[in-house]
Amino acid sequence: MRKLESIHFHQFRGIRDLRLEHLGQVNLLVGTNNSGKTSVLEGLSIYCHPLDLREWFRIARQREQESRFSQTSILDSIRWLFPKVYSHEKKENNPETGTLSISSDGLFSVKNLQARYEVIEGLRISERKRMSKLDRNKDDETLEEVEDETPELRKGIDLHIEIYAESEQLSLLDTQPKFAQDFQLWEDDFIGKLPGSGRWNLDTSIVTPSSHRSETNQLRLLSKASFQNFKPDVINLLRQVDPGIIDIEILLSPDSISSRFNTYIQHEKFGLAPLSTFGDGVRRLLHIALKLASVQGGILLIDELEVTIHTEALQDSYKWLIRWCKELDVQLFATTHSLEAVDSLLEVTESELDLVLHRLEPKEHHTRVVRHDWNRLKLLREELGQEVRW
Amino acid sequence: MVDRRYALLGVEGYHDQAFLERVLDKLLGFKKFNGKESDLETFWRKFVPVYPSKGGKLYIRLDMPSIIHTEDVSVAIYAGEGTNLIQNLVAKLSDIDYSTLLAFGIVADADKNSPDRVGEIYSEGFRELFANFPNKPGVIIESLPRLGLYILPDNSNQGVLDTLICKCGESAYPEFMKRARSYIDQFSPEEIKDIGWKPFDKEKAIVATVASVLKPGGTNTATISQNNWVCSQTSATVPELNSIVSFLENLLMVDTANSSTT
Repeated sequence: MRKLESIHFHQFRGIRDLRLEHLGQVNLLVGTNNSGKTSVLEGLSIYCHPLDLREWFRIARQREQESRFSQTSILDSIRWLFPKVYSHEKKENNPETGTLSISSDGLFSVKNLQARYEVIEGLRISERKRMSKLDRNKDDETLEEVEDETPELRKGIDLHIEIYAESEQLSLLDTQPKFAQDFQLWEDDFIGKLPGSGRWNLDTSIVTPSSHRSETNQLRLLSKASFQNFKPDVINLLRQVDPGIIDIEILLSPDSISSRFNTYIQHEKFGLAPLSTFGDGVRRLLHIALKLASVQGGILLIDELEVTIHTEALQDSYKWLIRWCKELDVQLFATTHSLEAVDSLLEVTESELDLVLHRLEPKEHHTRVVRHDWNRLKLLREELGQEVRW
Repeated sequence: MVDRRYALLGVEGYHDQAFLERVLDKLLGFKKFNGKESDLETFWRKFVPVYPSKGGKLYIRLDMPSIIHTEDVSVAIYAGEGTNLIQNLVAKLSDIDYSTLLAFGIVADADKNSPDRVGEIYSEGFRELFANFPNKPGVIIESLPRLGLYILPDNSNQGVLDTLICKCGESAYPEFMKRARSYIDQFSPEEIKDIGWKPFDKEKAIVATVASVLKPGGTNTATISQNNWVCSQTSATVPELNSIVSFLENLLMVDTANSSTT
């Protein structure tokens, strides 16, 4: 049995009633724009960290960070994780609320996640001090502290999260115990402790179309891969894109004026060169490889699997990816718009549950999912030339 | 103009495909699609093959159904690869929202089995998608989509399309048919055994002999498509042809009052 055998998004972002059944080791999500593919990845990431607010925040902000266009407040971003209620359904004077719900089957102990938020308002009653110029009419720039006595109306949200999970510690009678956690979140506020945040987590990592450009955590991931003796295989993968790559190292350049370590690639032609000087293909493959190694026994989520990888390198890259997903017991969920990516994955997989394609087709009240297992997908693509992306 | 509805017919070979296209075109007032991809209706776009750029079979025939339509109905006639018809159609249908089809039908031969046995095979094969697919030849189920099964030559006897085409030939080209039979009858059982004819290959050979006169160098598919084996005259004189015309008329809910015949 897999970590996730099926998952049902009852309500999450714009998705309503979407079921992914008979999940495989590799699950390919296809569909037109706005069909909900990325939302499925985001929903999976939150579902696998149900009480971890950091994950909720990270996923809520991810799309804005991708576009480097951040205008929405963090709490508004959290609200957008919930399905939107049309204005005519809202009742006058009632606070805005939203509910999301996801459930699953499989080895993962969490079976159901439900969350509800309610917009709340409060007055800031503590006296706030602000800085003001001593004399506005003069050039004197000296500042003084003054008290601002006007109470400030602030908005926040009450977030209630509850999960139903299997637990070894509980008696057999409690087959589906419930765990609930309440958070009160205010803008610019400090959350002192995150009780139970690590409990019930399943390791997941998400690769977005541009996350390989940010080097956050790259050094830590590369170190981890080295300790797991995984680095030689990562180098083999990178050689699919650039055969001149010999090694990867974490180094502090002797010329550097800072004490910041960086990732360097030892290359036949260029010698030691910073990773940032290499093309997107090398950087993204390295990023995927390191993320994969970081979620051993968990779930890897890749948005737009084909991005930056040349079509000639797709097949070898995917062969590597599938091999290591099996080796590290990682279940993969990946979105794609590319028929070449579908065909390349078919070429490098060989059994019914290795690869499952799920096509998302949003309807008025639900998302229809067309599921093709490996056998049917192979017949459709290789014998019948069927377009399976839409 | 009302929204056009869509129907899918499955057949076992390209000459069956040409036959149905001819029936719809000449006897039920349909018009052939011009073959330009840019003019293809959105509903059928999924049926345009896009083979893998690598590992594809270079000599495989484009697996594209022929499309024929009236103002109200657009019909795709899909030719499967012989016995792979069920497997291919189940795969293709599983990839579309087949519940929106007006009709889905199969027109098959009874060359190796009795029509009843052929009916059972198809009913079993499509049960995954259509629990009520008919198991009796000539039956139409008025569900959504409408479901129909027709077993050539006449829903009751064993035979193939060419069995029916020969009967049409007796009406349309009686003298040519007489000479063709006379020529084919000159082959002894030993010669036929050496050549390795399968059941009903004699009918195919007779049609091919006439075809070689009507369309020198042409195939049975070409002559069925272009000569008068299927026309208003043969429809009036050959009950077996009239039977399948009525079946298609009923399955596709064709309003014959508005259709033209030649």
